[in-house]
Amino acid sequence: MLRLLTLYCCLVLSSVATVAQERNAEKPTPEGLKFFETKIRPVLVQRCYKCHSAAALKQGKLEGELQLDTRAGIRQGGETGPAVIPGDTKGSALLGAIRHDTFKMPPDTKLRAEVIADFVKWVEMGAPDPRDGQAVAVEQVEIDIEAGREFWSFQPLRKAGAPSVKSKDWVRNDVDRFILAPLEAKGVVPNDEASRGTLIRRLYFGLWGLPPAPEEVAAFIADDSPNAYENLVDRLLAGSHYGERWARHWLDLARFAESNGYAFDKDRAGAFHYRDFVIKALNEDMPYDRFVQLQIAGDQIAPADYMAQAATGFLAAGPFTSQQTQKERERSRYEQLDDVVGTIGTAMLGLTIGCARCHDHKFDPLPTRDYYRFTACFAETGFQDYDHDPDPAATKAAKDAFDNAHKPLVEARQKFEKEQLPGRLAKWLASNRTVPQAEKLGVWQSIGPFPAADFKKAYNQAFAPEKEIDLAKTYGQLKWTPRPTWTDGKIHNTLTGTNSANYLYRTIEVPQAGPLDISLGRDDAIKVWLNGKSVLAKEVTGGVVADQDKVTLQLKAGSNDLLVKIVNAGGPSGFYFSTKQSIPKNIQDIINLAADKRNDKQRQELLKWFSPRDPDWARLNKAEQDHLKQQPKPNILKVFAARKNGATYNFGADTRKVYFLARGNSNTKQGLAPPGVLRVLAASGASPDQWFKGDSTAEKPADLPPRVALADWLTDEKQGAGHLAARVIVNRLWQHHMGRGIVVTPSDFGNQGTEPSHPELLDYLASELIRGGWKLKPIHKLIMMSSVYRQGGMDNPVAAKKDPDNRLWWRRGAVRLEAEIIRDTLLAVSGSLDKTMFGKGSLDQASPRRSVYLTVKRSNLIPLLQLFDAPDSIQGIGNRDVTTVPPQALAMMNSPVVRQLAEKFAKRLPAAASVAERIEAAYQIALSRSPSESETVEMTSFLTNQVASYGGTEQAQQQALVDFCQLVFCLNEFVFVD
Amino acid sequence: MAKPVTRPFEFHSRRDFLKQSGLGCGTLALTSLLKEEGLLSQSEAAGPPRLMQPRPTHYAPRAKSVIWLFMPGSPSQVDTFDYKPQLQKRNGMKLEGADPKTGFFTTSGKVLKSPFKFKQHGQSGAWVSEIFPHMARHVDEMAFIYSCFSQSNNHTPAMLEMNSGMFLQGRPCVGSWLTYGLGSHNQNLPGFVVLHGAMPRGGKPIWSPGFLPKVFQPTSIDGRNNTPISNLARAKQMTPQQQRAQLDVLKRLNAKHQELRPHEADLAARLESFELAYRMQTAAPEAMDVSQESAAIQKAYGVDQKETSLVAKQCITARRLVERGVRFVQLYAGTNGGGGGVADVPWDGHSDIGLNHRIAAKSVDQPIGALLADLKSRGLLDDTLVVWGGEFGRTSDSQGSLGRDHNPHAFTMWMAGGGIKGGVQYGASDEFGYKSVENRVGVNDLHATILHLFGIDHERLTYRFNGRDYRLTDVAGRVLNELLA
Repeated sequence: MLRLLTLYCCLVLSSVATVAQERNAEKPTPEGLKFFETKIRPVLVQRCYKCHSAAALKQGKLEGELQLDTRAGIRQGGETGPAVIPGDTKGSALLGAIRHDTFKMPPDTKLRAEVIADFVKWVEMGAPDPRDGQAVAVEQVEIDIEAGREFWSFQPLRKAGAPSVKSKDWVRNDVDRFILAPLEAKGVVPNDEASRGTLIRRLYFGLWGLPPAPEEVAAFIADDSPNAYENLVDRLLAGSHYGERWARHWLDLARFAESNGYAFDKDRAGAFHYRDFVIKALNEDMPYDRFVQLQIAGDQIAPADYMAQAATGFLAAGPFTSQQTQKERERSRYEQLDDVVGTIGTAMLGLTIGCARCHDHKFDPLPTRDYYRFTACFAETGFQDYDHDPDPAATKAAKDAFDNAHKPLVEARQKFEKEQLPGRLAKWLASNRTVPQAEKLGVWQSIGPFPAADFKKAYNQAFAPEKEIDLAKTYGQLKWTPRPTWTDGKIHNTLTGTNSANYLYRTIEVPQAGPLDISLGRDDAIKVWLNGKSVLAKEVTGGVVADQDKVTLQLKAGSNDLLVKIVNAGGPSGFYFSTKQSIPKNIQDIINLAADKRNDKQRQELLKWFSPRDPDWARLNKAEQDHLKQQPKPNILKVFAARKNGATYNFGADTRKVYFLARGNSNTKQGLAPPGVLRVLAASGASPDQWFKGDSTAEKPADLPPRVALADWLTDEKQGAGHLAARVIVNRLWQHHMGRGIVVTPSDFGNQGTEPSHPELLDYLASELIRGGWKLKPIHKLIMMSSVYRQGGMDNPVAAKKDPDNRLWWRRGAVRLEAEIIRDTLLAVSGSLDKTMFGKGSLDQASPRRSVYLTVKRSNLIPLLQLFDAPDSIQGIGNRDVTTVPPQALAMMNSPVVRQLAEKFAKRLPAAASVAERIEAAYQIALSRSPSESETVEMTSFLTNQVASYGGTEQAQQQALVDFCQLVFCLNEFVFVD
Repeated sequence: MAKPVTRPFEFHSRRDFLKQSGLGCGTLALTSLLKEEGLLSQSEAAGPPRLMQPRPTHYAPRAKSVIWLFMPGSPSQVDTFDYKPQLQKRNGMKLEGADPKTGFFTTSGKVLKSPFKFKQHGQSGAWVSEIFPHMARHVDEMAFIYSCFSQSNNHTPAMLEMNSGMFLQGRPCVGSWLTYGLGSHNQNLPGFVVLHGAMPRGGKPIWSPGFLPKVFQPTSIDGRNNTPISNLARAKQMTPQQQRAQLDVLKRLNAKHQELRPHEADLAARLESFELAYRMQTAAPEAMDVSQESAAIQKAYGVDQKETSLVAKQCITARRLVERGVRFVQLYAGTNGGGGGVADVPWDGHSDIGLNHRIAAKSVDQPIGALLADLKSRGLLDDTLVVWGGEFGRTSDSQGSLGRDHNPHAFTMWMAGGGIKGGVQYGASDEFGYKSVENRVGVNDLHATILHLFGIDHERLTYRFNGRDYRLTDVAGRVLNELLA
């Protein structure tokens, strides 16, 4: 055997040697050459060179860094390693590609089977190849990270002083200087402040997403204090509607949804906690760096904290395909991680990190290596519902109190078992050994007869008692009746009905789980259920006698439900029931042993069987069990969130690992990826790994959990990505306040995005954010206090000519309200808004709560919101589309939801008022202003005509008023805010 | 570095989008078209444009509309159009190279013959199984692709892939891409309509507009209860005149409001949208009203038979819609035939392919045959592209004793009309129909070809989202020139 093995090794060695020789000598045989020239070369030329040759490289068409037009090139291979290894059909990547196993090459049409066989043969022959010459060096477009840092958004924040300007009167704060300087340079005069009426609407919709009440408008217009405006800003920023309105902006970015998506779209009942977290965090003005950190690693930063738990719902919010074939799982896991990484990139960094998954990013300095190292930070992370105890201290106190009260009861029983029970057992064993009753049988209850078309149907049909047992319920004329006279062990032939069913019900209470034999009789057919499970079913006919059927019931400890159905064809009907007290065989065997022959285990078993049959033990046990029911239940919240080792697709050993993948394909792994950051966002002097290292003074520093390290890096404005994160978020604030960001592509601050129109202003705002401890409310205030925010939308022909697109902000544009805000405004104006905050949402678009509390179910998105461009929650979105299409108009004209709200609005208008007064009230409520004279005339005439067309009755008046209210809803002014 | 390409349909922002879709010959095309139909008054013609109006194409289009007949659950290629005598010969024998984990369950690895008889039809001699006698009459109009494959072996991801080119949620489906690229010819009707019965597996997300503006989302209509387009019916108590009066006031007030805000194009667009909506209230129910068809037509489609009634009505509706200029109609067809199929994937013959396919085929064959004949007789087939297929194929070995599992490696689709060369038989699967081997066609290739027929270069139809220029065909796609007339 040993010799054989040696021989085998030699053979293997020698074949390797041959290959090596072939490789060194490069002296192919004439036959080999002929094979190459006739079978291989023509195919390479015709089918491969177009994308894999020096010529292709020259034309910029080279794919996969692979050149197949020289021997050196084909052996060296491309991105995925050597294309051909002589003699090695497994290692030669080319073969997998042309078989379409790994890659699909050529991509258009697969080579014919004979041709593929030729290639295999050629590799087996040692890949004879006369084509000398070097593969032209592929210019390794290795991304130059250092050079990449030169790009504006990767640069540290620049602290430029606010420029000096001429029109000092217009300037209210530094924001205005940054805006005014370029305007003055272009000779454009910005607009003056808008009216108070316009401003209060702008502020309300901007911060709360709700219209101001008429009295608030009146008070603000009448307030001549110099701080009137500032006071209003402060009040709105402090109001809880602020969090509700601005949370929705963030939820867009977080692709927030409350279901898995895909085929079965399972609900995530605990997902709303993330939405609540965002609202709460904004309302309490949680510093933005903390806000980001908790969403990346809250579970590890503050494991006991509700907010920190709920925050990781950000990572968990992506779609998940619950139905998977084995082959899809690993791919799906990489998709899941890509969703997480991509969403962090766009939402928090304004970077399209996902583009570096299959190849180095084509426009930004993000190499594929960085992508996988970043992704590896989430390798161990999974998502599911977690129990969260909001008050662990109270839970512990309650548990301790309970345990203290419970202990004596347990002890009393144990004491009895130790001191009394053995003696009683011995006494019983010495006596006549009649088995004492252990089970408690409840009084029979009966209901029926339930009639059916025939006997078979009566037997098969599941009447109400089979679906639920509720002794209090009645079913037509039928109701449950207690039958205390129905004693056991006797035939009761008193049931009635033809082709019908009677049901009998009783409870059986036992102190511990175990079997109970029962014996039955029936006329005619019978079905029996124990605790809802069928234990007997016999479709028979005939009279009742005792002991026709015997059944052993497997009772659970406590109360059991026994349901019997007796089906009668005709004539008399009845049943028989008895329990049989017998000693189970295993117990009888122990009893049969002499007392001193029983071992400990048998003694225990015997005691255990006997104990419930002793009334004193049963009493003590009942006290203990009753008390157990009072065990305090902590108020556990199910929070859908991320955790280390949380649930994800399972595909074996690699489930919680991330590999470097060639071309993003999980079948082409290239080594395990360690966690890392995007190097372009690590300062030149910093080590890209420094965030992952624990305390460097410790003797053996432990690595930090990767997500904690990543969160730290993301918000590290000195050496990490914090400066970019700050730029991105202040730009989002600006965007939502001003209708357009300083960077117009709010989720792309890379090369493909637009450059900031006012870079100094952007950096100023970002610096102010950091200086103020990352608090967002001061930045809101800074923007809203400025003159540029407050200006009117008036036309200015000169300005319009010089800056037609208003890139410099010389005027205020009208902004269409988002879907949620349109709906919220309809609710508010009609007086039906329910301001309840937080908690479980609703899928009903007619729900009176704010739209942020509508459940986001991926397969069942709210139609009204979808119409007005609400996102589909699959990918994060920073800038919603604003489309104008007929279905929106149809919804406003015809949707029952809108019509009902118009009816409510009509009822809200003063009843005993003149037509003009009603019109006035409606305008004040819906548009925060009085109607103009011509509007009053127009509306009055409309109302008069509608009333006439509806017949002039009282009802016609109301009908016309509803039409009028709906008309107000349809006004452009209702959905566009100046 | 990607080479710079012209992107006629790329819009960096909403403003650009409105501008680009609003200027140039697109506007002209729409305006003249609506004027021809007498639908547009003079003042409206001067109004601002809309996102759904027809737009110019990269090159001359061959097709104007699509009717995509989607068979959810996936018909078996070897029991419909891809005739494989080897299956009959080697029934029950081992299928060389079979992977029992190809599909969703586990297959036997043993060849399962087709329970159906095949015959050659037409001048082209295409093989068709006996379950499609009506479709078989039109093989000379069809181009068969026998070499389709998909990435996914599971219904929902594969349906997403068939529709959007990607097995994940969130990408726009082909109908959305096409209406985004081209607009639609009838502004009084939705440009993209989905007709379905039981909701197919995966639900609405399989025909999602993804990240494209919502205007490119289809209007889906449940043929079982003819759910109308949402909010089409005005409040019961209101007459058209009363609504008209309401809209007249609205129009005047909105116009005044806009006068003070001359820069806001959206205001004018919204003003117009109410007028369009008002007209849609009449146009849409009329288009859906199958009862306006003659008794002979209804009978030809099979409206009068229980098995075919649903799909017959849907096919008639599809024809009425494309006749009125609707750009894209996708019809999810087939009635649950048992044999493993359930309502949301009626063609899913896991346990008995014969039983399943006989019933599913019965429900679609006559209506589809009639649709092709009807389109042809009306001259509509020339510029209406008809596409037929499921989301993947089925295994050549058996699941259990009589069923077939999912098979992503090979399936057959056919296209007809709209610039397709009839009688073409393209690509091939292996001798058992198990894997496609010759001229393999992926979903990207199908999409590239469809866009091509509409005059769109699939590499130039892009949309920028989250910093990336997306294409329907991602980074792949080849126009199947061999199929073009």
